[in-house]
Amino acid sequence: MHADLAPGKLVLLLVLIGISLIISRIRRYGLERDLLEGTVRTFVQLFAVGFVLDAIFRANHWYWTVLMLLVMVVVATQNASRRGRGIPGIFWWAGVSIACGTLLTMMLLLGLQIIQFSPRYVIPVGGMIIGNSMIASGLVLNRFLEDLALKRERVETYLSLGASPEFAIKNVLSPSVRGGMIPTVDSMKTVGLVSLPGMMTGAILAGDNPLGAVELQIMVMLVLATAVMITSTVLGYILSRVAFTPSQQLITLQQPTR
Amino acid sequence: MSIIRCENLGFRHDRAPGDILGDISFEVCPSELVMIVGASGTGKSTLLRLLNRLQDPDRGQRWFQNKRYEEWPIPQLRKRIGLALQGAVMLEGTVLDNILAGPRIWHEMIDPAEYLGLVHLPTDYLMRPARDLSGGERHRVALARLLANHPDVLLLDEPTAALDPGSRMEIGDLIRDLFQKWQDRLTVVWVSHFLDEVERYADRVLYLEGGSMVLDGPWSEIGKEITRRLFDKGYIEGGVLS
Repeated sequence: MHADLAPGKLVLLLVLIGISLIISRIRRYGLERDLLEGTVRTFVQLFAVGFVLDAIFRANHWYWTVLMLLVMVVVATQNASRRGRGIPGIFWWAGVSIACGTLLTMMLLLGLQIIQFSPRYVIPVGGMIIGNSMIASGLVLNRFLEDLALKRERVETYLSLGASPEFAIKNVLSPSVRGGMIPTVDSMKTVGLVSLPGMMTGAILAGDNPLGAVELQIMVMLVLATAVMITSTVLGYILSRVAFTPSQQLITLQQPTR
Repeated sequence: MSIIRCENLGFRHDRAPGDILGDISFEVCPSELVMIVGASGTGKSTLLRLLNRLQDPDRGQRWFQNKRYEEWPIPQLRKRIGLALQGAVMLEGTVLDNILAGPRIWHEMIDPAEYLGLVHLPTDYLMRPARDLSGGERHRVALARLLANHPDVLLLDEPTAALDPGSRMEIGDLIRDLFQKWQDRLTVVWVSHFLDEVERYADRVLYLEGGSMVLDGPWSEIGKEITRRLFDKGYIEGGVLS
């Protein structure tokens, strides 16, 4: 069956939010305001991006596609770098990491002609790559700051014995990079068993053959795993550099904010 | 000739007003056991960190073997002026991993059991997880780890802290015995919180007050003055700095 929602039907679905609002009011969860804001945002943001995508797809110029990806990278960077507050230049470093993961995997996909350079393919796949890279960067940064606060004395003990900064911080960094990868690896292990991934669900709802959707989804999973690995590794490498002064002294970083 | 020399060292913390250390000058001679004493917060630990170059001063100069600190390659300087941080920090893994930490960095071959023997621990400790050790054992392993890195100077930040009086004396005597055994090639700078220790082990005492070095000399000459100053400020309770 082809999913077909006329705008009128969409408005009817507000009944669902109405049910949530009533439950929140009766049970005194105090979520009414957030629910309303969330609903309005869902409509406004998704329709806005829908119009933008529609315009870009129609225009079909490479520079609009690249600009759209750039905007996504900037927003993702801003979001991820919040997890690394206190690290000097973290906005730029998170941006470089996310851009590296995105660029390398995108070049591979386009170079091997797995997808065409058309906004219809590049933007949704790029969006997924950037989104997953953003989550990985945030996790790496959060774990890094937490571990560094706990293991600061160990890092300094290595330094005091004459270890290089890279050597001294190795045991803090590896779990952080691993931490960034875990959600992607976990979702690879359970994909299809626990839930059907968004892209596949979307393709099936839009009328695609399930097997075709599966092929697409496998490509996405592999690409995401690679992108997340590259992003986490680049960020880890950068962190091992920026956590120290030119005199190989560990800088003082503030605790992560949640 | 001094092995370490400092002139007019000043250090200020980024987030706190005022100097932690202000205008500190002193020398340490080779084969000397110098103890640094002072109330909490007078900058003793900071001074050791400056000597190991874990931090740099805001003002002043440091020399090691008559060469300015900045002229030494940083890892080499840190190896030769080894520091045992406060709290006997244990690294990941076993006692063996801890003792081999320095030799692994420097690609050196050592006999770990020899260093365990130096700190009076039996060989079967080598495979124990370092996190399972008692306070006294941690202090011993931290000392063995430092010695296995073959430093010329040992910087010890309260190596007997948080121990019962018996264990404290054991570790103190151990450090003194090791120092006497290797006096021809070892210099010790030891921060202590216990005046009885200072009296018992120090060749020379440096007394810090408010981030400045106020007294410098053998305990027999300045011990009374140090005790009086600390007592007047209410820092002494039963011979122990509080």
